[in-house]
Amino acid sequence: MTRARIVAAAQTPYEKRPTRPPMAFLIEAFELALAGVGAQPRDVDGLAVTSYQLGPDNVTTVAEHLGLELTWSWQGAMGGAAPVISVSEAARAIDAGLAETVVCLAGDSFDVQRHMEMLDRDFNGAMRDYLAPFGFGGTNGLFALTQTRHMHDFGSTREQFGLVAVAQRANARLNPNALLRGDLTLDDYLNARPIAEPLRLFDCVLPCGGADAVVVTSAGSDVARRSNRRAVEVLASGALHNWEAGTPVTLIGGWSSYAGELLRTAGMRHSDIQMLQLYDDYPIMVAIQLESLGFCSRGEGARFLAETDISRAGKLPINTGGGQLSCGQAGAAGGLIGVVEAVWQLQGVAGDRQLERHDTALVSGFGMVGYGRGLSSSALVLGA
Amino acid sequence: MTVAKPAPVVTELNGPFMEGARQGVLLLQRCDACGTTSPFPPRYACAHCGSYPLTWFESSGLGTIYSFAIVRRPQHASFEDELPIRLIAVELDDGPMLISALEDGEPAIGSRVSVMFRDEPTPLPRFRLESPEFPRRS
Repeated sequence: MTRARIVAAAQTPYEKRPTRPPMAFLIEAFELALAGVGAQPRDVDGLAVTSYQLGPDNVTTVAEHLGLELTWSWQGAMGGAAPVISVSEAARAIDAGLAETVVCLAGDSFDVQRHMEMLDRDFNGAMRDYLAPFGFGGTNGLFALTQTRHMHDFGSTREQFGLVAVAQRANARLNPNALLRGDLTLDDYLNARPIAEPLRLFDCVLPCGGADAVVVTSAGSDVARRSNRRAVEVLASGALHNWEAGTPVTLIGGWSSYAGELLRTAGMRHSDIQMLQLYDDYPIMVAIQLESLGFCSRGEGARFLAETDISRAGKLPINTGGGQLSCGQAGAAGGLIGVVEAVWQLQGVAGDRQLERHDTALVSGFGMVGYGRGLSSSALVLGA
Repeated sequence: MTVAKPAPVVTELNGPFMEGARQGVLLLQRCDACGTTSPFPPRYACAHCGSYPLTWFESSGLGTIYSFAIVRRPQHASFEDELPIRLIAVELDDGPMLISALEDGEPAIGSRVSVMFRDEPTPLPRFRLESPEFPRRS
C-alpha cells in the first residue's frame, strides 16, 4: 500500500484590497506549488479546492481551466475547517489508490467591505435571515458573544487574549508575506478601536486576497522521488461537524471529542507536539482550541497563554508565521495557512523564523459559522 | 435617503413565524411525535426524532441573557444610525437559545428579558429588559 506524503507547500503573496478574482490567486498558488516540486500539470491527478467566492465556478471547472484530468476531486464546504480536511482526505485518497498526486488549494479575494457583504447576504441562510437584520457585525459580533461568556464563566481577561496577538505579530515580523508586520504591544492591543466589545481591532483578522497550496503525493511517485525536501506525513486526522447540535454560543469546540484519539493514533502525547498551528480567526478561539485539544483544562485556555511561552523560542510555539491575525485572512486560505507553515517548518525551510525542534506539528481548522458559531472543526498531526 | 436594512427572506417554512412576528408573537416549533422543542431558527423536521412537520406554538417570550456584545462596526452601512448595537444571546424559558438585540438598556449576563417586535414589514424577535416599568404584553 502506498503511503501518502506532503512534499511541498506554497503561498501566493497576500494583497490588501485585491482587484484580481479568486481564480487568479488559486491558479497562481497551484503553479507555485508545482514549480516547488518541479512537477507538470500532467503529474497531477487529484485536486481539492476550498474558496468562498469561487462560485459559479467549482473544483471541476478549476480543473478544466488548469487542463487537469482528475481521478479524484474534492470541494470544501466546511468553512475554515475544510482545507485541513482536504489534506487528510487527499492522503486517504492516495493511500486508497484513487490518485497519485493531489494539489490542495484554498484562497479568495477579499477586502473588509467584500467580506462583510458575504457575511451579510451570502454565507448561509441562517446568518442572512436571522442575524444580519440585527446588524450583528458579522463573525466579530458572534465571537464577541463567545468571549464575553468565557470571561464571565472562567475569569479570562483581555490581557491574556492579547498575548496571542502580540506573540504572533512578533513571528510575523520575520515573515515576508505577512501583511501586518508593524510593532504590536499589549497596550496597543488593549487600547485599539472597539469593533464588537469585548473584541477590538487586533482581535480581528484582515480580509485580503491570496491562496495557499499543499502537494500530497504517494511515496513511490516520480514527484516524490524528485523531491529533495524532507517528507511530511499525516500521522492522524480528525473532524467533526455541527457539534454540539443546537448550541448557538459555545465555549468548547468539536476537537474535544477526538483530540485523545488524534494523539493516540499519532503515537504521541501532548508533550511530543513541538508546535501548534491553530485556527486563529480570533484569540478567543485560540484559547478554546487549547482547551478543546487538551493542552489545558476546560476554561483554562487564557491562563495557559499567560503561563506558557508560546513564542518561537518557547515551550509551545503557536502560529509561528504570524497566523491569520498578522498575515491576513485570504478567505479560505486561512484554513490552509497553518498547514503551509507547519510543512515549511518540518521541512526546515522556514527561513528566519525556523524552529530548532521541527519534527512534529498539530494543525487545526475551524469554521462554517452558521447560527452563532463555527459548525466544523478539524485537526491534523504532522510528522517528519 | 436612508439605506434599506437587510431583511429576512420570507419562505413557506418561516412564513408562520414571520406572520406571528408581525402580530407581536414569538412562535417556536415543537415536535408532536417526541415532544422535543426545536432549536431556533425554524426548520422542516425534528432534529431529535426526524418527524415532520413540526408544530408552531406561542412562546412566553421570556428569557435570560446568556451573553452579549456591543457592536460598533455593523456588517452593513444601514445600521450606522442605531449604533452601538447591543447584541445578545438569550436562553428562552421555553428552551431554545436565540441571538437577538436588546432594544434599550444595558445588557448583563443573567438579566431577565422579554420579547418585543418593531413595527416594520419583517420584524425579528428583539428583547427588552424585564422590569416593573415594562410589563410583558398580556
